[in-house]
Amino acid sequence: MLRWVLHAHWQPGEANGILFWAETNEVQKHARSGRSRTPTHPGCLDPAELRARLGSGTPLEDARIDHVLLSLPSSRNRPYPSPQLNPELPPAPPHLSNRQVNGLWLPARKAFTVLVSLPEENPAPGCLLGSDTRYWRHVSNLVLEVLAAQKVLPTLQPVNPNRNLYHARWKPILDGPQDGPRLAKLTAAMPSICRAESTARAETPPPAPRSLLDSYLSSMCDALARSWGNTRSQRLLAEGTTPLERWLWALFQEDPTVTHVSAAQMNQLFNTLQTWMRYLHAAGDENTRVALQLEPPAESDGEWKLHFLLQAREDPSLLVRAEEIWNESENLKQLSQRFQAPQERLLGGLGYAARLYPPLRQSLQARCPTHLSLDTTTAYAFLRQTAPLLEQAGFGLITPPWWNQRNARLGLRLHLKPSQAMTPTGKLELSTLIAYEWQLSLGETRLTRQEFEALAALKTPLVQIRGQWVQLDIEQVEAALRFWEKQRQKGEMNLLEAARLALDSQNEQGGLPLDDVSAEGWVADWLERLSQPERLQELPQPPGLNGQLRPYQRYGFSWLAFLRRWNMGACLADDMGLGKTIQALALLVHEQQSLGQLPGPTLLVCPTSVVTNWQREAARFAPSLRLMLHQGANRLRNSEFAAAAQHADLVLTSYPLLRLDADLLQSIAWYGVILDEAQNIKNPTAKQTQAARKLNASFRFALTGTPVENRLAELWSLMNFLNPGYLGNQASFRREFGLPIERFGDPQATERLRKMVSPFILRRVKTDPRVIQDLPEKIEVKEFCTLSEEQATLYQAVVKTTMDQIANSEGMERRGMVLTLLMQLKQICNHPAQYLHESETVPLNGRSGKLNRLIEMLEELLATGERALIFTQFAEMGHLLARHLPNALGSSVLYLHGGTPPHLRDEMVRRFQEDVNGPPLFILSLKAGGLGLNLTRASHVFHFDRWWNPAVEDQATDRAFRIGQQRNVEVHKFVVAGTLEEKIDELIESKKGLAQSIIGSGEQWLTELSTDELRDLVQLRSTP
Amino acid sequence: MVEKRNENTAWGMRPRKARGGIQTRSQRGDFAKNWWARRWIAALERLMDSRRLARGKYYARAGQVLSLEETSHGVFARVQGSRPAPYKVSISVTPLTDVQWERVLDVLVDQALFAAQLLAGEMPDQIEEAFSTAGVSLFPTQVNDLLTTCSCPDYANPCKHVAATHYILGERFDEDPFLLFRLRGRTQEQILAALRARRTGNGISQPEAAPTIPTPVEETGPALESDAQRFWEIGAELQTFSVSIRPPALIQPILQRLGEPETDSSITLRGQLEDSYQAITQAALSLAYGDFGLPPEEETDASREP
Repeated sequence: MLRWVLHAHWQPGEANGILFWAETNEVQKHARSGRSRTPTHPGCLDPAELRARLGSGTPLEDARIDHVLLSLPSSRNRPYPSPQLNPELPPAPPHLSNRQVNGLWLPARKAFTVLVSLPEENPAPGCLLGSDTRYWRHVSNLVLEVLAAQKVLPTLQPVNPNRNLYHARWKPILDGPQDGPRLAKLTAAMPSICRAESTARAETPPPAPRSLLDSYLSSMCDALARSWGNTRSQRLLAEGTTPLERWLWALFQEDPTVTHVSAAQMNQLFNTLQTWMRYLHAAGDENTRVALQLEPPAESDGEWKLHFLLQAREDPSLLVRAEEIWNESENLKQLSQRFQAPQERLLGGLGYAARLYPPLRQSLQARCPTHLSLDTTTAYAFLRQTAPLLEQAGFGLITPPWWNQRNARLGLRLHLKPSQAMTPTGKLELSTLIAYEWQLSLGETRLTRQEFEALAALKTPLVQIRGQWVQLDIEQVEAALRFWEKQRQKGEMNLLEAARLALDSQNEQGGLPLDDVSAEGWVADWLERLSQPERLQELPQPPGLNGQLRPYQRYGFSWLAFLRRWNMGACLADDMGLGKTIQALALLVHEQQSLGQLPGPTLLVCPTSVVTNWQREAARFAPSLRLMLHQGANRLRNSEFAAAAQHADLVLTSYPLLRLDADLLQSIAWYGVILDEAQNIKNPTAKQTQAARKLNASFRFALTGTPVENRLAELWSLMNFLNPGYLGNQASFRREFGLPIERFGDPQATERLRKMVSPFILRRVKTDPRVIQDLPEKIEVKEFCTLSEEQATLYQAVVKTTMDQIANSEGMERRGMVLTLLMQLKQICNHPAQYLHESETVPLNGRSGKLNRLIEMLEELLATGERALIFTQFAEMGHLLARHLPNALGSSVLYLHGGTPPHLRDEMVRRFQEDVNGPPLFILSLKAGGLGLNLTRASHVFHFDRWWNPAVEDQATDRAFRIGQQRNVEVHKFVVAGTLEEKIDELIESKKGLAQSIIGSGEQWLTELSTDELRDLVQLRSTP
Repeated sequence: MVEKRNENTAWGMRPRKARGGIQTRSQRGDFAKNWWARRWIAALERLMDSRRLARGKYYARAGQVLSLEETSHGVFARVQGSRPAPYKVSISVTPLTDVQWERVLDVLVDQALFAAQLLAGEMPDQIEEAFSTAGVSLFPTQVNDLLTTCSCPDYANPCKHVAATHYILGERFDEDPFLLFRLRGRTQEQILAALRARRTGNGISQPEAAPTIPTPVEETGPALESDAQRFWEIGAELQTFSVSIRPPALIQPILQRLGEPETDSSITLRGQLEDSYQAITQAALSLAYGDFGLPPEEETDASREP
């Protein structure tokens, strides 16, 4: 699949539109561009092709084909591609040369729609978004904010006043408290590619980032407001004749020119509108603004002071007091770059503020006023009514830190305690009820009804209680009165509801915020452990577990046991290689031992490719568990299945069967359900997700190695399986969390969600200090894979025909035939395409158990930003992997084999080791890469096939595991279960001590085996 | 635009219809909205006979004043009368002397409110008292405070053309309170600089050191070659950039802040633009949230079950 980068090039001014163009890493055939002498970018995709790939159903369908000259970092003969296509950075400083790029051009409004509607990931096959595209999408979000908030002003702009040419334009007004810093961020973050358009004259400098940014904001706001606002009432203006009507009419037309107004009238209208807009910037200009700071008195009955200041827009913490401004102090002079004409700024701002807040006039009767004095009642009125008004008008407002803070207002407290109905020894269930009681509080103080009524009778909106100011808003006092009237202050709720009230920071009841949740008895204990992971009580390793739990694994298993005890769903999301399997098995063994026997079977669902692996690991670590495999054409159905399942402790099955046998699996009352690789239920509408949700079990776990908390739709789907309803329904979740976080980066929503889900997700990464000390430096794991149907058929056919021939031959001929047989079988285990020597175009997907497993594991480790080496002894397999992996994973790879020239080999090693954006995967043929290389950036080593010689494999592994390695290295040796690979592996394991002497010389020893021994070795065994 | 009118003009020649003349904001009732502009008009009204005033008012409303520009101590206007060529009108006001100004400024500096209101585009209520404390009058009070000329053949001065110009000028005062000071001989910059000098205590008026409102130097930004990495990469600053796409707490916040412009139109911007603003909000919200559909149905773990 061709990978390409979609660029969006904003052209301000006359052009006023975006040229979308696509960059590839391959030289494209170009129709000669007739007039231009500048060479065309060789990787630029033909615009017609871009239209075909992206245009369908979008305005790009009808976009004009156009071109632009860009000044791009280039080597002698071609531009360097974007980093997404080639992680190699151009030399610094880069040499720039002009290239023509061809693309699809759209005017501002249509381009905007295309830009914001592009999906973040995979807008089209192989398509990545260029940094310019992503940058303008960020800016576009701001445009949407401005428009949604109606912060656009209709203006009349002189274009050529001498010829009476004026335009009616919509102008964005970005003067809110956060706007200055946000515009500064956008200016600083603009990638240079946005400014790279080169003009005919070489001496013209590239546009300044700020002016380019402003042009985008203004043009887009104008174009969109013009089009979206053209409602029926504006169309009725077509008949209007007054200058004002002509101007309003032009605000909604494609052509912004104001027509049918004489020069004198236009001039007058212009003056009138200028006068009208005067107050827009009364509070300040783009560098500074007037700010007012309210300082409470030390004593309750003291005097409040409203100080006058100037504040820098880009850095709101930079404040200068009026005293310093009147004195023209040194401090002010140092800042004079920002605070020019400071006295007039301050005076003008105060003059305007006095119109909105007349009490200010009184203080302005002094020669050099510095503040206004207020009493408590007027201070409250200022905070409540005037401050929002002034803030809206663009003034900076610095209110006391407690103002509008939860802990300084009326709020509610929730007290939880064990319900009377439950005995301490009773079984705790998710449906277990706990008793609750609501209380009213003010700041830190709990209020009785009498206390509250006494306070409310004071009728003072601001009260100082124990030196702390608190706020008694009239609405809240009324809400509190209603609250006392309501009789449902006490009652019972279930655990999940209680958890949500305790963990969601935005709970509200009847208009009053929930300030605090307290608890007593076991409920207190439970809540504390839920929200404070360090308070978890660690359990000892269950005696029946065959294998030593590492300390962090013991913690993980205890955590699972804790949530299991309360029947709450849990997701163990440790990094790959930290042993999620053994932690889950430890829990089952623990339950089995503490209950005497498991009350029912637990269903484990995993991808088809790891069913065998689970089976092997369960048998090894938890021999006390009775296993049942539900897989294959001969699996049990109906009542037979139900009967067999009742005699098993752990039933293993795969996601496809979860779907196919949904009715059957849903008919069983499971003790628990565990989903391995739980990202398989990330799509809430997929059938297997729905099937998982309908399973009937007393506890639910999910295991996954991908960082679930980063993809919110997936997180919701997972949590909806684990704890249904906890995060609300999908639509409300998207509204409250999904969009604000993913699309607009809302930090409050992020923190709120983190608090809510963290008790139910345990994720440790290998670099955690408390994990890393527990990990051995090198972990070797065998990954058991299965044969696909195609592989199994080929394997059996080869064994059958070749074994007959071997039986009838001897000597050198036999030896040769044995080696050929072994090689063919290894090829089949790798991939049918390798054995069949298929041409490059034949698809590889889904035909090899090993390849499936490799891709699953690589996806997981790439998601966490890790790097891996992949060894194979077959150059042909290496080629297949090098061809397939980039497409399957969307990630670039390096491939080193015997034919790689030495200088390229050094370059590959350098890129892998040093390049920040270098390819994260390195495929090596065992012979070419086994020695001498230093590849310590890899933390995973895969042996895709086996050399059967531990010494050779160890040497290869040591490319990553050697001096300089900071991380733990995980070694994955792939073994196809039931084949000669597993048999030989067992042989080697059983003779480990002898290995060096017996098998040290490679595979020769295998040729010495008798025909029966050989047949036993290669015979395909069924895997259960 | 041609004004519709049905005024009877039995007592004078009907002027030529003017096209594209300056339009007054008020078509009936008083000219000028603010008290200081009305004071200006009253000053003229005391100096003229009522018949010419009424004609002048009619001329102003009919758009007969074709142009108006400021001169050093006054204004120059072209007024369309009954002849083909417009008449040339000038109005000037006697400037205050430097000594008079110094006295005025001494009074003005005592209350920051004067400068604050002027800078906010408002004439301070107490301004006349301040001037009279200094022993002078801000508005013209005597015939020789106001010098007017017109190229028309009317023997009377001020004539109706002067009156029309005067009314139009009155509306200019609404927009710019400093206009009156300019006519009296001091610019905004001179006044502000003098006040600042008094406030900071050196007492010397320095009209030449007038504050120029800074036009920030346009930064050109880093050279394209400066950083290879930055050529293609979005800066880390954006990691903390966020937006919040919501309808406004208060509709039409900008128009609420600004109020209505002063025009003769019966249309209010808030009324006329309300549904457009609402439509803009709706379109922005639906583009931000509406099209964010679910991912297409897909089944993972594609490997077939044997």
